[in-house]
Amino acid sequence: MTFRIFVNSTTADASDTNDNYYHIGQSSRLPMGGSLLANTTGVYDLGSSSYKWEEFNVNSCTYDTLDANGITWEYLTRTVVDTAASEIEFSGLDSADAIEYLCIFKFISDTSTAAIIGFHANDSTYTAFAGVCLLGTPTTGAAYTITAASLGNTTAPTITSLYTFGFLRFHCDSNTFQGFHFLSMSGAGETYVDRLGDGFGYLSSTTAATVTSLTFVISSGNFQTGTYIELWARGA
Amino acid sequence: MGWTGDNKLYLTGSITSGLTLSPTNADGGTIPVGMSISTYDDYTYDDSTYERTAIYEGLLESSYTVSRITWVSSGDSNDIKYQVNESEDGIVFEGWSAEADAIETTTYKTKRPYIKFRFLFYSHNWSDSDSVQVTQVDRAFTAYVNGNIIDANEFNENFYTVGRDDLLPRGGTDLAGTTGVYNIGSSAYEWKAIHVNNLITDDYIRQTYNLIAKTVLSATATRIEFTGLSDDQYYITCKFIMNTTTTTDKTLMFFNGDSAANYGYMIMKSDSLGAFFVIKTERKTTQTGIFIGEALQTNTISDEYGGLFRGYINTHAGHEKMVIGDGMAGAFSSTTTGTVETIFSIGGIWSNNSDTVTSIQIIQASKLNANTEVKLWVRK
Repeated sequence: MTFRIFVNSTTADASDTNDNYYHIGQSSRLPMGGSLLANTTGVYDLGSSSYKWEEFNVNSCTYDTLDANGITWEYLTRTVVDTAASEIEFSGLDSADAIEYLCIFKFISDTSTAAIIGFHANDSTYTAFAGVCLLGTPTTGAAYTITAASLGNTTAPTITSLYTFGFLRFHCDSNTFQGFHFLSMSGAGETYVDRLGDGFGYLSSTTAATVTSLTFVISSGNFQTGTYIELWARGA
Repeated sequence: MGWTGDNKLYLTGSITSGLTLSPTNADGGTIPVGMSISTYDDYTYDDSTYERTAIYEGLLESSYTVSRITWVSSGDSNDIKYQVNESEDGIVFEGWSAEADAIETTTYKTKRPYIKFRFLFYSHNWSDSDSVQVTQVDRAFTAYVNGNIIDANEFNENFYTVGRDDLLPRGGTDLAGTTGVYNIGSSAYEWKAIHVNNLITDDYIRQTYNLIAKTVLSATATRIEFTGLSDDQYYITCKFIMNTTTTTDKTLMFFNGDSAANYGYMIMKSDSLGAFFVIKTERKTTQTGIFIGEALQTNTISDEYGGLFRGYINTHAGHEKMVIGDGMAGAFSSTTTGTVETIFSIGGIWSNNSDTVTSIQIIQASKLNANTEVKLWVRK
């Protein structure tokens, strides 16, 4: 039903009055604007930073972006490689709003080349680092000092595709060192897992404190089609 | 606004959380002045049918000029009836109304700020589960009729109904509150932002991980299973409590009921106790599942054996199905110091990148004891 604008000296019909109430208060609550209270989108808020609703009780909650103020992890984006690429970059980040990033990834590399996969921040500004990784191989386990911010090591090109699956948690609070933890597995398909890495380390920079981008690189060959990374953030 | 002067005769609970029969008159209710009441013990069988057996009486003070009181009730028709007695000042009341069926009627509308309510139970047996609960007291909407004079209070109250205080989903021509029907915004007309202190949802929240399944064993079992799955990535958290009859059985995860030797994994774990753990790695191929825990009980003085595991599960279509995670196993006691016997990281794979994962199974041949808990999370 449409909203009726009443006019001075004109008799109002009771049903028009009722319909105006129903237009505002009945059924789904949609954002409205203009003198006819027409539905609109992306303009008006429910509550404000000054005047918040106490509780929002719903069966399900759908939206484009979630700003949970650090209460829970917020899904930001997912990149899927559709053309082979040597690096994958997430730009437009602001570590002032996210003290921790979570990346869940599956890297697929060239079938002919073993490679080390690493990451850096702010277009290599953050390159100084230190870390230790517990590395499992088919024959032995060892702790070693990582010589690159390595997230995985695709090896044993004996079967089909080479992959690395795992997650990276990157603490980038600008007030302290920026540490990371990753857990990843690498292999070549079927029932073969060739590497298992569990590492901690940190990136550091003398020039900037705010992380604005994260870049994933591969030491040899390219990230192949189907490679994906999910990026999550936990706010300050 | 609120309820005062509760008198619960042969009833227990509260008017806002639910009232049920109490054969022992647990809350010490008394017979209202001027009323009589019979209980089942006063008559032989059948004679007691349709006699009042329990009564609730209370006073509702409403801050709304026009109020609507909503309740939910259970029972057969006329098992519970209600009466009201209204007042403008809380001192002089108009007298009790005739009894009306509270089962068939679920709302009452009034313009008085003081309303005494009675709910009269005519339940057939003490064991009946008849109940009543007032769930909402809110403003009532008045629909106008051409040719009638509009009451100014009703006019104001109608605006208050749609614009003031709690924003409720409303439907029908009386704009009564309802549930599970209407939306805030739509896919075509989105709000820009929502500012709230607390978000409470029954189903799911988009853009974060949601708990979609939780199993807590109430008895010993060898298997936990999640079915009806269709998403492409999960997060799993487990607390295993092992039966201790066998000490070395592995806890395994497999998919779609495939327990054939189609799995491989690499485990990196501490191998023995001491000043420092010894880290060892083992790769397993052609396994019947992916390792996610084990039963260890070298510490025999402990009274519980088990462990924790957490991990991500990749189930994307067209990809290898993989698990990456870490955990621990040990022996625990509520009376003495237990031991963490091992910590481990694992990466596992199912050699099937074509099928959609529709179920996840966790098995432990030595059995999982009661209170074992597994939670499955997914991004919606």
